[in-house]
Amino acid sequence: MKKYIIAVLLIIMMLSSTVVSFAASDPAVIIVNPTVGSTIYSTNLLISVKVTQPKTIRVTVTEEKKKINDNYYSTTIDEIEKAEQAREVGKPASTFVSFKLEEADIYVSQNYLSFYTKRFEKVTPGTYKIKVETLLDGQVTYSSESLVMMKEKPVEITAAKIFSSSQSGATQFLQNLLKSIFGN
Amino acid sequence: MKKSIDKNIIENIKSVILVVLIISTILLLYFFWGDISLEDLKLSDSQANYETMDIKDLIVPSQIIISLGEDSYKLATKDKWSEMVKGLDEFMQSDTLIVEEITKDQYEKVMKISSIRAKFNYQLSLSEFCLAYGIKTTPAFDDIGTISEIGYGKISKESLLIYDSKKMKYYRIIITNDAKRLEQLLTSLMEEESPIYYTIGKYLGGGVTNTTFIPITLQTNLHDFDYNREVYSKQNDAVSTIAQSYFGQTFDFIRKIEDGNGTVIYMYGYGQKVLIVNTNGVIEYKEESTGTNSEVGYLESLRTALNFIGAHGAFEGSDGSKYEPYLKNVGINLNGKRGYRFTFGLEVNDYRIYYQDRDPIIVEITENQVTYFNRDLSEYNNVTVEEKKDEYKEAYSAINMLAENYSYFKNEMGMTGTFEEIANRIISVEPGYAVVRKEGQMKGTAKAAWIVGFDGMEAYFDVYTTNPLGFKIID
Repeated sequence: MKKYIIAVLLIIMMLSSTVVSFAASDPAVIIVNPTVGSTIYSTNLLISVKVTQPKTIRVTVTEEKKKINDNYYSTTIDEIEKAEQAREVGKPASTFVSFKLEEADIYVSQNYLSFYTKRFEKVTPGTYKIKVETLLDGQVTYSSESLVMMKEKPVEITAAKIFSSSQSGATQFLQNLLKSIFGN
Repeated sequence: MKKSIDKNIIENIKSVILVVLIISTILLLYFFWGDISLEDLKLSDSQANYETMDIKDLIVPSQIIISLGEDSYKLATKDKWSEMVKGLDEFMQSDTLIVEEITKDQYEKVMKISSIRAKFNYQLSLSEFCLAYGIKTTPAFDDIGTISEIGYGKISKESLLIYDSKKMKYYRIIITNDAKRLEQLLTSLMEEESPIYYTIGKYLGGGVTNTTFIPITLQTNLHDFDYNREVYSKQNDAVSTIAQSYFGQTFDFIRKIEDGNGTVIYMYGYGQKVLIVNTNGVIEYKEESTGTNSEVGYLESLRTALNFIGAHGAFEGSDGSKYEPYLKNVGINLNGKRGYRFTFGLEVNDYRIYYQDRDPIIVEITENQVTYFNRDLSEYNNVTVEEKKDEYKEAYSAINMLAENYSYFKNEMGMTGTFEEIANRIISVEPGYAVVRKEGQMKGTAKAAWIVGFDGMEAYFDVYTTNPLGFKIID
């Protein structure tokens, strides 16, 4: 009797479960930009989600930080993925906390092809998670995530580096200089 | 005595007749050998004062693009072009100007981040461009063919970059002096609040490499406006006045033919000059080339075209409806003859009008002579348009306008492929007015629209509802 009750309870839990992390990704909802695991050298982030059926989605963008004691530190995609793998095999792993950039957006698509797009400005360097959940009657039916690293723009390459291998060469340069002085 | 007086009188009369004959001979020889027609001597009201546009006002870029990096851009408004010209002028004042050919990769690296460039839809040589704007040139500019893009990037402050799409070559002009204007203009435009554009490839990802820009969101003051075509059906006086502006007051050697449907044709001689005034307001003028075999440059031909347009209605509707013209396209040496075909477009409220049926003004210049002129302008209420100029609304998302009309591209326009494959073929997306009308339709509405350009086609969609309005096959 006890086993019977436990089994029924488990089935009920599975059927009514809304635990997001166990929901599969929606084949009709694809995070197009940024690409998964990419690094963006900018302070602006463009989110583009392709929706290929009439659906309602919720898009949340969070910054992921590692928690050590009561402090929070920047992290990398690699660290997050390693921690996830460790948890799956029951090993101890770092704790990560998500900080929302803004309140989640609800996007309703009434067509068989549409795009959710949003631009975030002045994004500080760090690791960000874009989570897209498909909603049906307020319940999450699918979920997908994409992690992206935002980094500061690298030192700009200089003109000297760009034009050091110019095809024109010294001869052409001299020819042009002479032309500009003496004409054709 | 009397006999002597008679003889004197006769001699004097003979002398006068002789003088008159000699002068007449000289004049006749002058007309026949000097290739001058009597028409040129006529004082006609068609020579009355008219305004001709300055060439500089027409040689303007289709876009001024500011690159912010990471495939994000801004588009500068047209009024910034004059500032950019000043910057180019300052650049060219350098004591030394050196022209160097560079690679596409080098060009793109400089333009990728913190750059400004002007993009032209037609071909114009750098020398002619500088001549039109009174900018200093150097013989080294002759090595550069035509300019399709001219730009400046902060990474290479000593360089002005040029792209020639005809030869598919890239150049840079190197200076030795300091030139700050372009840098200051670029900085101010980057900091200015204005819509952000991304490339289509950025929105769609995957294998889409299209670098056409579309905004994430766009506030526009585009509003539909009604128009009436210039009607000449059974308006003999109006038609006569138009004809006089081409042939003079007296219609010497001019035949008038009236078609059954109301079209009026004026013909000089055996068809050396023909004027057709259609009932739907379209005016066509054709003139046989005199075949002087002279080669006249682009700017001179454009000036001739503008003079002709100025003398025949300018860029205004017959009721004075004002349009801002722009040079839309230039064809060179068509049908084996030396000359140009200038196609002009029109703007209202700083937005371009796209006509599904025909371009509003076309002029063909053959060896500096106007050999073809087409005019199809409409009247509209300036006041109504002006009143709504400050009313802004958010346009339908550009990327979703494309996505939601994928079936239209396929089913109506006959395009094939996935949405991403079709999107990869887009060459332009911009807000403007679309005029879609049936044959013979005399009035209608210029619709506020997204204009989507492909190679050989353009499509129009309502800018606020994204409903398709029509499309055009471009020859």
